[in-house]
Amino acid sequence: MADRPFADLKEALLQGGIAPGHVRRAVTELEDHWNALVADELRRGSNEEHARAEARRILGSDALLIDRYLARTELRAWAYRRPALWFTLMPLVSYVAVSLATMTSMILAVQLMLDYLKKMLIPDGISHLISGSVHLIFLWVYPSLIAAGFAVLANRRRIARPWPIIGIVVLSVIASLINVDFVLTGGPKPGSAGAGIGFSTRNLLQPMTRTVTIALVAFALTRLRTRRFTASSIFD
Amino acid sequence: MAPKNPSFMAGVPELVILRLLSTREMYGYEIARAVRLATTDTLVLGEGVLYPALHAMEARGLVRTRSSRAEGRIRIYYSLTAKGKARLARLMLEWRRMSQSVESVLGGETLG
Repeated sequence: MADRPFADLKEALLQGGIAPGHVRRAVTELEDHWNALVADELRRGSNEEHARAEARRILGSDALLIDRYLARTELRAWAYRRPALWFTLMPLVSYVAVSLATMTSMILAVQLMLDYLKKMLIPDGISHLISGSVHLIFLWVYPSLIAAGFAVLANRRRIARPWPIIGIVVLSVIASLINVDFVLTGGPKPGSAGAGIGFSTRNLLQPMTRTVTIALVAFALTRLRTRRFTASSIFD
Repeated sequence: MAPKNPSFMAGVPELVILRLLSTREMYGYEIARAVRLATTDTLVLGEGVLYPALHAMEARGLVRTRSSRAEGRIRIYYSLTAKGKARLARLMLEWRRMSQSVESVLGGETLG
Protein backbone atom coordinates (compact mmCIF):
# COMPACT_ATOMS: atom_id res chain seq x y z
CA MET A 1 0.00 0.00 0.00
CA ALA A 2 2.84 2.37 0.78
CA ASP A 3 4.23 2.57 -2.73
CA ARG A 4 0.97 2.80 -4.69
CA PRO A 5 -1.76 3.67 -2.20
CA PHE A 6 -4.22 4.61 -4.94
CA ALA A 7 -3.70 1.79 -7.44
CA ASP A 8 -7.09 0.21 -6.70
CA LEU A 9 -8.80 3.59 -6.83
CA LYS A 10 -7.23 4.28 -10.23
CA GLU A 11 -8.51 1.02 -11.68
CA ALA A 12 -12.00 1.54 -10.22
CA LEU A 13 -12.25 5.04 -11.65
CA LEU A 14 -11.17 3.86 -15.10
CA GLN A 15 -13.71 1.05 -14.98
CA GLY A 16 -16.32 3.58 -13.89
CA GLY A 17 -15.70 5.56 -17.07
CA ILE A 18 -13.83 8.54 -15.61
CA ALA A 19 -11.66 10.08 -18.34
CA PRO A 20 -8.06 8.81 -18.08
CA GLY A 21 -6.76 12.38 -17.88
CA HIS A 22 -8.85 13.04 -14.78
CA VAL A 23 -7.83 9.68 -13.28
CA ARG A 24 -4.12 10.35 -13.79
CA ARG A 25 -4.47 13.78 -12.24
CA ALA A 26 -6.57 12.48 -9.36
CA VAL A 27 -3.88 9.94 -8.48
CA THR A 28 -1.11 12.54 -8.80
CA GLU A 29 -2.98 14.96 -6.54
CA LEU A 30 -4.02 12.36 -3.99
CA GLU A 31 -0.46 11.03 -3.73
CA ASP A 32 0.87 14.55 -3.26
CA HIS A 33 -1.79 15.26 -0.63
CA TRP A 34 -1.16 11.92 1.09
CA ASN A 35 2.59 12.60 1.27
CA ALA A 36 1.94 16.02 2.82
CA LEU A 37 -0.42 14.50 5.42
CA VAL A 38 2.08 11.75 6.25
CA ALA A 39 4.78 14.40 6.74
CA ASP A 40 2.40 16.35 9.05
CA GLU A 41 1.76 13.25 11.16
CA LEU A 42 5.46 12.38 11.37
CA ARG A 43 6.18 15.93 12.57
CA ARG A 44 3.59 15.42 15.30
CA GLY A 45 5.55 12.38 16.46
CA SER A 46 3.54 9.54 14.92
CA ASN A 47 5.35 6.48 13.73
CA GLU A 48 5.48 5.74 9.99
CA GLU A 49 2.69 3.17 10.00
CA HIS A 50 0.28 5.32 12.01
CA ALA A 51 1.12 8.38 9.91
CA ARG A 52 0.22 6.54 6.71
CA ALA A 53 -2.99 5.14 8.10
CA GLU A 54 -4.04 8.53 9.48
CA ALA A 55 -3.24 10.24 6.17
CA ARG A 56 -5.41 7.74 4.36
CA ARG A 57 -8.24 8.19 6.88
CA ILE A 58 -8.18 11.97 6.42
CA LEU A 59 -8.30 11.65 2.63
CA GLY A 60 -11.24 9.24 2.75
CA SER A 61 -11.78 5.64 1.78
CA ASP A 62 -11.59 4.37 -1.80
CA ALA A 63 -15.35 3.75 -1.68
CA LEU A 64 -16.05 7.38 -0.73
CA LEU A 65 -13.72 8.79 -3.38
CA ILE A 66 -15.08 6.48 -6.09
CA ASP A 67 -18.63 7.45 -5.14
CA ARG A 68 -17.82 11.17 -5.38
CA TYR A 69 -16.01 10.83 -8.70
CA LEU A 70 -18.71 8.72 -10.32
CA ALA A 71 -21.35 11.22 -9.18
CA ARG A 72 -19.64 13.82 -11.41
CA THR A 73 -20.91 12.87 -14.84
CA GLU A 74 -18.96 15.69 -16.45
CA LEU A 75 -15.76 13.77 -15.62
CA ARG A 76 -16.79 10.72 -17.64
CA ALA A 77 -14.89 10.02 -20.86
CA TRP A 78 -16.81 10.64 -24.09
CA ALA A 79 -15.91 7.15 -25.21
CA TYR A 80 -17.64 5.81 -22.09
CA ARG A 81 -20.69 8.05 -22.48
CA ARG A 82 -21.22 7.17 -26.15
CA PRO A 83 -19.43 3.83 -26.70
CA ALA A 84 -21.55 2.87 -29.72
CA LEU A 85 -20.64 6.11 -31.47
CA TRP A 86 -16.96 5.96 -30.55
CA PHE A 87 -16.25 2.35 -31.32
CA THR A 88 -18.46 1.71 -34.34
CA LEU A 89 -18.82 5.03 -36.16
CA MET A 90 -15.48 6.69 -35.32
CA PRO A 91 -13.30 3.89 -36.79
CA LEU A 92 -15.27 4.23 -40.05
CA VAL A 93 -14.92 8.00 -40.08
CA SER A 94 -11.20 7.68 -39.30
CA TYR A 95 -10.73 5.13 -42.08
CA VAL A 96 -12.45 7.37 -44.64
CA ALA A 97 -10.53 10.45 -43.44
CA VAL A 98 -7.12 8.74 -43.49
CA SER A 99 -7.82 7.18 -46.91
CA LEU A 100 -9.01 10.48 -48.41
CA ALA A 101 -6.00 12.33 -47.00
CA THR A 102 -3.58 9.73 -48.38
CA MET A 103 -5.26 9.64 -51.80
CA THR A 104 -5.27 13.44 -52.01
CA SER A 105 -1.58 13.56 -51.07
CA MET A 106 -0.75 10.98 -53.75
CA ILE A 107 -2.70 12.86 -56.43
CA LEU A 108 -1.03 16.14 -55.43
CA ALA A 109 2.39 14.47 -55.57
CA VAL A 110 1.63 13.18 -59.08
CA GLN A 111 0.43 16.65 -60.12
CA LEU A 112 3.68 18.19 -58.89
CA MET A 113 5.71 15.67 -60.90
CA LEU A 114 3.42 15.71 -63.94
CA ASP A 115 5.89 17.27 -66.40
CA TYR A 116 8.59 14.85 -65.32
CA LEU A 117 6.27 11.82 -65.46
CA LYS A 118 5.08 12.68 -68.99
CA LYS A 119 8.66 12.40 -70.22
CA MET A 120 9.30 8.96 -68.78
CA LEU A 121 7.81 5.49 -68.91
CA ILE A 122 7.54 3.56 -65.68
CA PRO A 123 8.39 -0.13 -66.18
CA ASP A 124 5.44 -2.53 -65.80
CA GLY A 125 7.03 -4.23 -62.78
CA ILE A 126 7.37 -0.94 -60.86
CA SER A 127 3.89 0.15 -61.94
CA HIS A 128 2.38 -3.10 -60.61
CA LEU A 129 4.40 -2.77 -57.42
CA ILE A 130 3.00 0.75 -56.82
CA SER A 131 -0.58 -0.41 -57.52
CA GLY A 132 -0.15 -3.43 -55.26
CA SER A 133 1.28 -1.33 -52.46
CA VAL A 134 -1.65 1.10 -52.69
CA HIS A 135 -4.06 -1.85 -52.52
CA LEU A 136 -2.25 -3.28 -49.54
CA ILE A 137 -2.20 0.00 -47.65
CA PHE A 138 -5.79 1.09 -48.35
CA LEU A 139 -7.56 -2.24 -48.21
CA TRP A 140 -5.58 -4.09 -45.54
CA VAL A 141 -3.12 -2.01 -43.52
CA TYR A 142 -5.35 1.02 -42.81
CA PRO A 143 -8.48 -0.88 -41.76
CA SER A 144 -6.51 -3.37 -39.63
CA LEU A 145 -4.51 -0.67 -37.86
CA ILE A 146 -7.48 1.66 -37.33
CA ALA A 147 -9.74 -1.12 -36.04
CA ALA A 148 -6.98 -2.35 -33.71
CA GLY A 149 -6.20 1.20 -32.61
CA PHE A 150 -9.77 1.82 -31.49
CA ALA A 151 -9.91 -1.56 -29.77
CA VAL A 152 -6.71 -0.76 -27.84
CA LEU A 153 -8.23 2.59 -26.92
CA ALA A 154 -11.34 0.78 -25.69
CA ASN A 155 -9.19 -1.46 -23.55
CA ARG A 156 -7.40 1.50 -22.02
CA ARG A 157 -10.78 3.14 -21.35
CA ARG A 158 -12.07 -0.15 -19.83
CA ILE A 159 -15.02 -0.08 -22.25
CA ALA A 160 -17.33 -3.10 -22.21
CA ARG A 161 -16.09 -5.83 -24.56
CA PRO A 162 -18.89 -5.87 -27.20
CA TRP A 163 -18.29 -2.35 -28.51
CA PRO A 164 -14.70 -2.69 -29.73
CA ILE A 165 -15.53 -6.15 -31.15
CA ILE A 166 -18.50 -4.69 -33.05
CA GLY A 167 -16.24 -1.85 -34.20
CA ILE A 168 -13.66 -4.24 -35.62
CA VAL A 169 -16.31 -6.30 -37.42
CA VAL A 170 -18.11 -3.27 -38.90
CA LEU A 171 -14.89 -1.70 -40.18
CA SER A 172 -13.72 -5.03 -41.59
CA VAL A 173 -17.00 -5.49 -43.50
CA ILE A 174 -16.96 -1.94 -44.92
CA ALA A 175 -13.25 -2.10 -45.80
CA SER A 176 -13.79 -5.39 -47.63
CA LEU A 177 -16.26 -3.65 -49.97
CA ILE A 178 -13.88 -0.83 -50.90
CA ASN A 179 -11.98 -0.80 -54.17
CA VAL A 180 -9.02 1.44 -54.85
CA ASP A 181 -7.15 1.89 -58.13
CA PHE A 182 -3.93 3.79 -58.50
CA VAL A 183 -2.09 3.28 -61.76
CA LEU A 184 1.15 5.10 -62.51
CA THR A 185 2.59 4.39 -65.94
CA GLY A 186 4.29 7.60 -67.03
CA GLY A 187 4.13 8.82 -70.64
CA PRO A 188 1.52 11.17 -72.18
CA LYS A 189 -1.19 9.85 -69.82
CA PRO A 190 0.94 9.23 -66.75
CA GLY A 191 -1.65 7.55 -64.57
CA SER A 192 -5.10 7.35 -63.03
CA ALA A 193 -6.62 7.09 -59.58
CA GLY A 194 -10.04 6.00 -58.39
CA ALA A 195 -11.94 4.54 -55.46
CA GLY A 196 -15.36 3.02 -54.95
CA ILE A 197 -17.50 0.86 -52.73
CA GLY A 198 -19.67 -2.09 -53.72
CA PHE A 199 -19.87 -5.85 -54.08
CA SER A 200 -21.03 -8.39 -56.57
CA THR A 201 -23.60 -11.02 -55.56
CA ARG A 202 -21.82 -13.39 -57.93
CA ASN A 203 -18.63 -13.21 -55.91
CA LEU A 204 -19.38 -12.89 -52.21
CA LEU A 205 -16.50 -15.11 -51.19
CA GLN A 206 -13.88 -12.45 -51.85
CA PRO A 207 -15.31 -9.72 -49.58
CA MET A 208 -16.12 -12.33 -46.93
CA THR A 209 -12.53 -13.58 -46.97
CA ARG A 210 -11.28 -10.01 -46.76
CA THR A 211 -13.63 -9.27 -43.85
CA VAL A 212 -12.43 -12.26 -41.88
CA THR A 213 -8.75 -11.57 -42.62
CA ILE A 214 -8.91 -7.89 -41.66
CA ALA A 215 -10.84 -8.72 -38.48
CA LEU A 216 -8.36 -11.44 -37.49
CA VAL A 217 -5.36 -9.16 -38.11
CA ALA A 218 -7.04 -6.38 -36.10
CA PHE A 219 -7.78 -8.77 -33.21
CA ALA A 220 -4.19 -10.05 -33.29
CA LEU A 221 -2.79 -6.50 -33.25
CA THR A 222 -5.13 -5.56 -30.41
CA ARG A 223 -4.07 -8.54 -28.36
CA LEU A 224 -0.42 -7.76 -29.02
CA ARG A 225 -0.81 -4.20 -27.75
CA THR A 226 -3.18 -4.76 -24.85
CA ARG A 227 -0.92 -7.39 -23.28
CA ARG A 228 1.60 -4.66 -22.70
CA PHE A 229 -0.85 -2.37 -20.90
CA THR A 230 -2.94 -4.56 -18.65
CA ALA A 231 -2.61 -7.94 -17.07
CA SER A 232 -6.15 -8.92 -18.02
CA SER A 233 -7.01 -7.76 -21.49
CA ILE A 234 -10.62 -7.58 -22.57
CA PHE A 235 -9.67 -9.93 -25.37
CA ASP A 236 -8.22 -12.64 -23.14
CA MET B 1 -23.35 10.66 15.84
CA ALA B 2 -24.99 13.62 14.06
CA PRO B 3 -23.72 14.32 10.56
CA LYS B 4 -21.31 17.23 10.46
CA ASN B 5 -22.50 18.50 7.07
CA PRO B 6 -26.29 18.33 6.96
CA SER B 7 -28.11 18.50 3.64
CA PHE B 8 -28.70 22.25 3.68
CA MET B 9 -24.93 22.58 3.40
CA ALA B 10 -25.05 21.25 -0.18
CA GLY B 11 -23.23 23.71 -2.41
CA VAL B 12 -21.22 25.14 0.48
CA PRO B 13 -18.00 23.30 -0.44
CA GLU B 14 -18.09 24.91 -3.88
CA LEU B 15 -18.63 28.34 -2.31
CA VAL B 16 -15.78 27.82 0.15
CA ILE B 17 -13.36 26.56 -2.51
CA LEU B 18 -14.18 29.42 -4.87
CA ARG B 19 -13.76 31.95 -2.04
CA LEU B 20 -10.37 30.56 -1.05
CA LEU B 21 -9.17 30.51 -4.66
CA SER B 22 -10.29 34.13 -5.09
CA THR B 23 -7.45 35.15 -2.76
CA ARG B 24 -4.64 33.30 -4.58
CA GLU B 25 -3.92 30.13 -6.53
CA MET B 26 -3.65 27.01 -4.38
CA TYR B 27 -3.09 23.28 -4.68
CA GLY B 28 -5.34 20.66 -3.09
CA TYR B 29 -3.54 20.21 0.22
CA GLU B 30 -3.38 23.99 0.69
CA ILE B 31 -7.11 24.31 0.07
CA ALA B 32 -7.87 21.55 2.56
CA ARG B 33 -5.60 23.10 5.18
CA ALA B 34 -7.10 26.56 4.60
CA VAL B 35 -10.61 25.13 5.05
CA ARG B 36 -9.55 23.41 8.28
CA LEU B 37 -7.98 26.60 9.66
CA ALA B 38 -10.72 28.98 8.53
CA THR B 39 -13.58 26.86 9.84
CA THR B 40 -11.76 25.41 12.87
CA ASP B 41 -12.86 21.95 11.68
CA THR B 42 -16.57 22.87 11.78
CA LEU B 43 -16.87 22.32 8.06
CA VAL B 44 -15.58 18.87 7.21
CA LEU B 45 -15.14 18.54 3.46
CA GLY B 46 -13.34 15.19 3.49
CA GLU B 47 -10.01 16.09 2.02
CA GLY B 48 -9.92 13.56 -0.81
CA VAL B 49 -13.32 14.59 -2.10
CA LEU B 50 -11.93 18.04 -2.82
CA TYR B 51 -10.49 16.67 -6.04
CA PRO B 52 -13.65 15.49 -7.83
CA ALA B 53 -15.18 18.83 -6.87
CA LEU B 54 -12.18 20.72 -8.26
CA HIS B 55 -12.10 18.65 -11.45
CA ALA B 56 -15.81 19.21 -11.98
CA MET B 57 -15.36 22.95 -11.41
CA GLU B 58 -12.59 22.94 -13.98
CA ALA B 59 -14.82 21.04 -16.45
CA ARG B 60 -17.45 23.76 -15.94
CA GLY B 61 -14.86 26.48 -16.58
CA LEU B 62 -14.92 27.90 -13.04
CA VAL B 63 -11.25 27.23 -12.30
CA ARG B 64 -8.12 26.73 -14.37
CA THR B 65 -5.08 24.62 -13.57
CA ARG B 66 -1.35 24.93 -13.84
CA SER B 67 1.08 22.14 -13.07
CA SER B 68 4.42 22.70 -11.48
CA ARG B 69 7.18 20.47 -10.13
CA ALA B 70 7.63 20.73 -6.37
CA GLU B 71 9.68 18.47 -4.08
CA GLY B 72 10.25 16.11 -7.00
CA ARG B 73 6.52 15.72 -7.64
CA ILE B 74 4.05 17.25 -10.05
CA ARG B 75 1.71 19.61 -8.24
CA ILE B 76 -1.50 21.01 -9.71
CA TYR B 77 -2.38 24.59 -8.82
CA TYR B 78 -5.89 25.95 -9.18
CA SER B 79 -6.98 29.53 -9.80
CA LEU B 80 -10.29 31.22 -10.56
CA THR B 81 -11.46 32.10 -14.05
CA ALA B 82 -13.70 35.06 -14.86
CA LYS B 83 -16.62 32.63 -14.92
CA GLY B 84 -15.57 31.34 -11.50
CA LYS B 85 -15.47 34.88 -10.11
CA ALA B 86 -18.99 35.54 -11.40
CA ARG B 87 -20.18 32.24 -9.92
CA LEU B 88 -18.58 33.12 -6.56
CA ALA B 89 -20.31 36.52 -6.51
CA ARG B 90 -23.67 34.88 -7.20
CA LEU B 91 -23.16 32.12 -4.59
CA MET B 92 -22.07 34.65 -1.95
CA LEU B 93 -25.17 36.75 -2.60
CA GLU B 94 -27.42 33.70 -2.33
CA TRP B 95 -25.68 32.48 0.81
CA ARG B 96 -25.96 35.90 2.54
CA ARG B 97 -29.60 36.19 1.60
CA MET B 98 -30.31 32.71 2.98
CA SER B 99 -28.26 33.12 6.14
CA GLN B 100 -29.94 36.48 6.88
CA SER B 101 -33.34 34.82 6.49
CA VAL B 102 -32.39 31.97 8.82
CA GLU B 103 -30.81 34.40 11.29
CA SER B 104 -33.92 36.56 11.37
CA VAL B 105 -36.03 33.47 12.14
CA LEU B 106 -33.62 32.28 14.83
CA GLY B 107 -33.48 35.81 16.27
CA GLY B 108 -37.29 35.83 16.59
CA GLU B 109 -37.81 38.95 14.45
CA THR B 110 -40.48 37.31 12.32
CA LEU B 111 -42.15 35.41 15.14
CA GLY B 112 -43.80 38.49 16.57
